[in-house]
Amino acid sequence: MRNTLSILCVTLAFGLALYFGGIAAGPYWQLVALNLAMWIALTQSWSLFSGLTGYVSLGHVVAYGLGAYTMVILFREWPVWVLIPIGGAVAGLFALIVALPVLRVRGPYFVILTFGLAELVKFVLLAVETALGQSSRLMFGAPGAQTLLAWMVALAALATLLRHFVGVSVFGRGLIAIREDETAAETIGIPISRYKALAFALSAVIPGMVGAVMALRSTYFEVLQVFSPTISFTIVTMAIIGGAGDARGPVLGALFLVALSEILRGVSPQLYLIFLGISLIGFVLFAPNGLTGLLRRKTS
Amino acid sequence: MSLLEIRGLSKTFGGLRALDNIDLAVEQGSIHGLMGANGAGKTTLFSIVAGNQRPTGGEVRFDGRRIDRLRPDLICRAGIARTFQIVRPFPDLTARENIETAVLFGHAERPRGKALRDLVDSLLADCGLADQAGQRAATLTLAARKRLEVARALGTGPRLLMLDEVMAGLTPTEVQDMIAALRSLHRRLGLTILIIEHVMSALNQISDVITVLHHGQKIAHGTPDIIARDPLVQDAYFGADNDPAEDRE
Repeated sequence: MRNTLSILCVTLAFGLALYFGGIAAGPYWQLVALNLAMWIALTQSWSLFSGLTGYVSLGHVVAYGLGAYTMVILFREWPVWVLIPIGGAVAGLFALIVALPVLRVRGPYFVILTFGLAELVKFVLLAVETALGQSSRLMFGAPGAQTLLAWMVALAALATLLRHFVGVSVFGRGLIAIREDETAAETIGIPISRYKALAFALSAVIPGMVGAVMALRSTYFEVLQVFSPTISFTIVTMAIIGGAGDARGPVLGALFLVALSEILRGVSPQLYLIFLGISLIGFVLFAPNGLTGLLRRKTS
Repeated sequence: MSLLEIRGLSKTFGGLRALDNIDLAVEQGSIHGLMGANGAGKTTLFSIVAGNQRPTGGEVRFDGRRIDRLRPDLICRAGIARTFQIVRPFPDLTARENIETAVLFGHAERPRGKALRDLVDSLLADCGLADQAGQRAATLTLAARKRLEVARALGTGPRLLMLDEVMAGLTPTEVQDMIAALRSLHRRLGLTILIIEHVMSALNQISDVITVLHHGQKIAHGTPDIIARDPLVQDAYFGADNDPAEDRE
């Protein structure tokens, strides 16, 4: 119980600090805060599925992109506060549908399959948009930056709490057992297919909503940019650097990479990518459980 | 009535007949030994009963109900648990968490709170793991991991427990401990046990009846002393002088 209360308080405090700090510090920091919240929301959601089950997804950009696409095409029909959850639902539903075939393969095959699926969706939508004569879409009258920041911070908090509470639930224990040994897991009564599909779908919902909010932020939609595999790669990198063992990892990973990018991009964009590569290799080799793993080793 | 009834069970892998038309009945409350050389089909039989593999032909009934098309998790909840010959505890979870997971998922009605803790505690004690409860499974000794494998299977609350070579690789003292623990569990929980074992003396000590498989076929069935004298079993095991293939030459 004490644990539950403390995680609620920490999440709330961090969220409020991010929102008010971002606004008070001016437009540049507001953008950084939005970015940070976005990456936390995405990485927590990824960790909910991949961290718990051990199935590494390289396709989470699809959820993000479908949310953005939903927002863009329905922007003029419905109010945005309806479209954000709809974006999440579309992404979740899509994940649920593809879960059954996709989750039949494991290990590296799963990684490649999710990556391939993301590319497939990207090029199919590109073809659709081209056929419709829409190379890119613009939105007019999107909500202001402060509103968007508030929504994004709320999504980051929601994703963090969801990751935490699923992780400590019986459902989460089942997912961990699947990660540890799938055959043993089903032999002690865990309905593995249903659990994996459910976790996969659940991990797509918030990224869908994040995509919808980000579409409002850029007020511009272009398939190749929104469905860029770099988004999936960045999520996985953040999870590796932060550690995917609990809800702290994605926060630390996102903080680390956003800070690194803000500090080094000003100096030189190439330098950022070099440091990104070096830190990724360093973490995989020397701290496979990420920053949270290092913290745990220090404290114990 | 038999608790487990297998009729005409067959399993082929490509051209290999791993199981060939096997009939087997395990009586309620008995300890039933399953014996046979490597490749006789013992583990395949376990995998089919537990739902990890599908049979090519034949049927499996548990408590009168057909289970050979069910998923492993449903078979487990119906009351069948198995261990694996090469133990597969969840390596990153502690001994306690391993058992707890089985208790949480194996029961039709999930125990909670104190009932859950008590059940896990008693299983840890029964299987001699109380002192290692907080240790990660990966760091346990082989003997302890074998006991954990049994404890986790028991955690699902089975009526039929299938043990796959839980004594292989143990020292003679550890084997005796395991036999004593299994006997006491059998008595106390009213379990039915189907057990595969290479340690023949152990199997003879513990089993009420023994079935012998050889190259996927059932070649003998009876009490341990009948089995020990059976000529076919002796042939299969000791590669006797009167090998029919040799006679033909």
